[in-house]
Amino acid sequence: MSDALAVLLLLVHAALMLAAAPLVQGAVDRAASLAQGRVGPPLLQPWRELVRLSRKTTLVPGTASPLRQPALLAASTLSITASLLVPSFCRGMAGAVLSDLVAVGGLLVAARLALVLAALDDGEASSGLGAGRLLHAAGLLQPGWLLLLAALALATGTTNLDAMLGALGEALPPAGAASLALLAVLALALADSEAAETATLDAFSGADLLLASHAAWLRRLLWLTLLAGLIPPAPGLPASLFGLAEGLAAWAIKVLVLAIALGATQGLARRTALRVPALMGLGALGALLAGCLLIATQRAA
Amino acid sequence: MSVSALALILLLTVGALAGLPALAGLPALAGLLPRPRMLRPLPLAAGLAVLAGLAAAACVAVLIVGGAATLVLPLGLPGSPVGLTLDPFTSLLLLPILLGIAASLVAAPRGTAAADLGALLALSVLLLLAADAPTLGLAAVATLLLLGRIARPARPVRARAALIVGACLAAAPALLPVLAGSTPAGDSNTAACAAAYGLALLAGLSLAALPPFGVALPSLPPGSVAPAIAVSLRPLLGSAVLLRLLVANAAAPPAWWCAAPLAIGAVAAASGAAIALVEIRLDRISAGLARQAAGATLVGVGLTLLARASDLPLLAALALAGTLLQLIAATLGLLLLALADAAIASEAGSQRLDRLGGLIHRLPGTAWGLLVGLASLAALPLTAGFAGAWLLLQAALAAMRAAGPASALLVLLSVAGLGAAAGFSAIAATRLFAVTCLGRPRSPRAAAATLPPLPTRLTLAALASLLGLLGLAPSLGLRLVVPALAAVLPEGRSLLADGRQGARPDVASLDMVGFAPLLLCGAALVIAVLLRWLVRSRCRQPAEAEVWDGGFARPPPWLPFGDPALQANAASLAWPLAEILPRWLIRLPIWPRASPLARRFRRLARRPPQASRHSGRLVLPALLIAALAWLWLAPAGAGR
Repeated sequence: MSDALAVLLLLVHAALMLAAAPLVQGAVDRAASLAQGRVGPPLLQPWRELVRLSRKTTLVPGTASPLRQPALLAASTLSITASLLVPSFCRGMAGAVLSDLVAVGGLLVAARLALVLAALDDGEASSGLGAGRLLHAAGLLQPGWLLLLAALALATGTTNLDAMLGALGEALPPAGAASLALLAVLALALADSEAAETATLDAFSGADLLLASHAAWLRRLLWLTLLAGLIPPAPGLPASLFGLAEGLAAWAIKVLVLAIALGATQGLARRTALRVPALMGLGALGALLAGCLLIATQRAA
Repeated sequence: MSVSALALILLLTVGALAGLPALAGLPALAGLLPRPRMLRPLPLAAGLAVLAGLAAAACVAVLIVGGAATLVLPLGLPGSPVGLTLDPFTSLLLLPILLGIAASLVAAPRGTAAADLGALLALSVLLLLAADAPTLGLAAVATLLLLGRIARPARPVRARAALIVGACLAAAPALLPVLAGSTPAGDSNTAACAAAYGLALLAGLSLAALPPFGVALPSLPPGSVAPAIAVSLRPLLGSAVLLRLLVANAAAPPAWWCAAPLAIGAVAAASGAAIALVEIRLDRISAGLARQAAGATLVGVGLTLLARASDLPLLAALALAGTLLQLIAATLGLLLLALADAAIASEAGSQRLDRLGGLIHRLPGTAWGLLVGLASLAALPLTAGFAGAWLLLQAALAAMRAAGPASALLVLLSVAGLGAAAGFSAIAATRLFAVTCLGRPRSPRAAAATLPPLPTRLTLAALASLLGLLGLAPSLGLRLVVPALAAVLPEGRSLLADGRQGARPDVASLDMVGFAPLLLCGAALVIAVLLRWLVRSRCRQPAEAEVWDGGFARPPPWLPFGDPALQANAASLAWPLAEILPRWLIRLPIWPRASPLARRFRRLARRPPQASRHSGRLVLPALLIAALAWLWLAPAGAGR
């Protein structure tokens, strides 16, 4: 595969992720509403929100510091950078060498911490409450993420996500370990997206809220893309145009199904802040058990 | 004369010049003698800072050029002359100490900490250069006592008891040849070797303030630099002793040696980060983060031992490279944090988080420096701390695949501990920065904080730039680490030799393949510029507005910055984790707690305060003078 094609695929991937993030959010909201017996907002409502926010004046508090805008920009930038490193419809894109899961996890945590700093900057009570919830969600993500990474690395022998998906496409790990790892990703994804949304509403307005909202939706899409990659069929190398179309369709269907499942789960479950630590703990436990199973399997083999 | 020999002579000069005036100054500080006119602190501090800077440059030269130099002094025990060796490993570990002490001498207000910092510099140089077991043991004991004296712990009784026990154990290196022949691993299957291993481990743990020894939680007067620097250097000093005794000195360590470092390191890292998460004073949060860094380094030592026991030299090199890189970054980050803490305490009048706030408006340089140091300590991407953590994690994952099931499970649990530590430290770092520097001031003193002196600001900027450089180009740090690997690992010498012949199998495989921070940073910059342009061109311009007060009543006129109690504070940002965390993780038992020794010290502490303070001051000078007298007066080989 030529470098130009790799760069082109990365650009297509970036455009798809940026454009699909609000749509996936719309699907999640719609599914959550349907699960609660309501009709819910239209699928394009998040896009309409973005357009509406872009027309509103951004209000900056008088007590804001010079850190507020850079932190907000960093939160968006780091989320986008992380999303570029997670392969969606094919492997071997221009950023494949850099798609290290340790770096992706670190970027996600750094993005959230930057958002927390921006939210805490004005020193107001309401934004501080939401920022506290975000802060704990960011910190609690780390143990589960590292254990999940360890389990995946045990199964595939690498921490590079692109190579990891390739190895999983060739040989699947034992069913027990794979199920536990999927459960861990699902729990972490649920917990991570659970804490995100309401926290930013009180702290930002206008373009700032646009950036924060889009970053949160992109983050949710990143989790779903990661989960979709782990579910067979894994994305393959771009051998032909048909293969690319096939990979694109598989990614879209998997993400849509997962978004509906995620939304339905969120709609059926009662939303409280205290669920986030429990879900994070469940994710970490699932990943730990998957790792233990893999160690035992390796010895038996 | 080689570069190493010149650097060794320079270091000895620095050590002597730093140690002797400090030694002479200690009785004066203790109140026994009037302070001599020649020991006025400011010139002493400036001179020591310049000398430490020169010595740091010499260490860099040794790391670049390579080579080792040994000097045998005509002093010491009969049959055991004092030997001092400078090699790339020693140079690498001395580098952050020299830089840190030079920086703190420059940044200390009016040079007040010169005597303490000078003594710390001299003993650190002696500890790291010591080539023989008695000198190493003596230096370890003296360093531990000095650290305990400088830090003035908050719980003097327990801390003093632990200090004395730790000092006894720190002398373990001196006993190693007696216990196990010539080296700790002279015969790795004997009981004597196991005892030597245990003693060496306890010596390192006591120096690094790791479990079972209590965390160094100092109670510092505002603006005091030396105690904070002492706490920051403990992880490096303890790890240096452990690496010397367990990794460099052992020919073939057995596999069980890795168990204790992995387990203790993971628990200590999580415990340190948890302490940082719940504490409400800057200095105590720093102490917690120091324990976290020391724990992570100990896990690296365990991984290195496991790789060496499994006969995997490349994995051992990878683990040791990660350990050293992580240690250097953590030490620089802790030093930056200590200096920023001291500046904040000096200018804003308090180290309590609930009396600070909004300092980014009054002390912008200090706040940005603090942010860089905290981000590095939390091992966020594109910071110096991330590179070492990344290498360490790669080594852990590789060890899990290569080791036996029990060892693999232990490594997996260590990764869980490191993950918890990373998460807690990220929360603790964000909480510290947000409460200290963002929002509105919580006290009139914080609202009226003034800029720290120019040398302090320059020092903070220099340290932050160094950390930033290491974060964006970790390969530079790795180039300095590789010669140190060759000096510590017996198989590293051949690896480095292969590398210099052109094949470079070691350097290439140790390089940060798969993680290119500069590329990531470039991509992030492009995205940020595009986003900024998009927002500016498509969205309306921002307008300043009064923030909604959340429905609360207006504050009275005598609260010009609003009611500071309404904003998020240290307690609210620690909740609910502070309640979920098990208490034993936050308050690890300080050993010995109820032993006869502890009771003895409790009785000692009940004496009248004046007498107790006086006797405490006399302990260290007396010991130091006795030790140096022994070193200088006992000619080598006198008994032969």
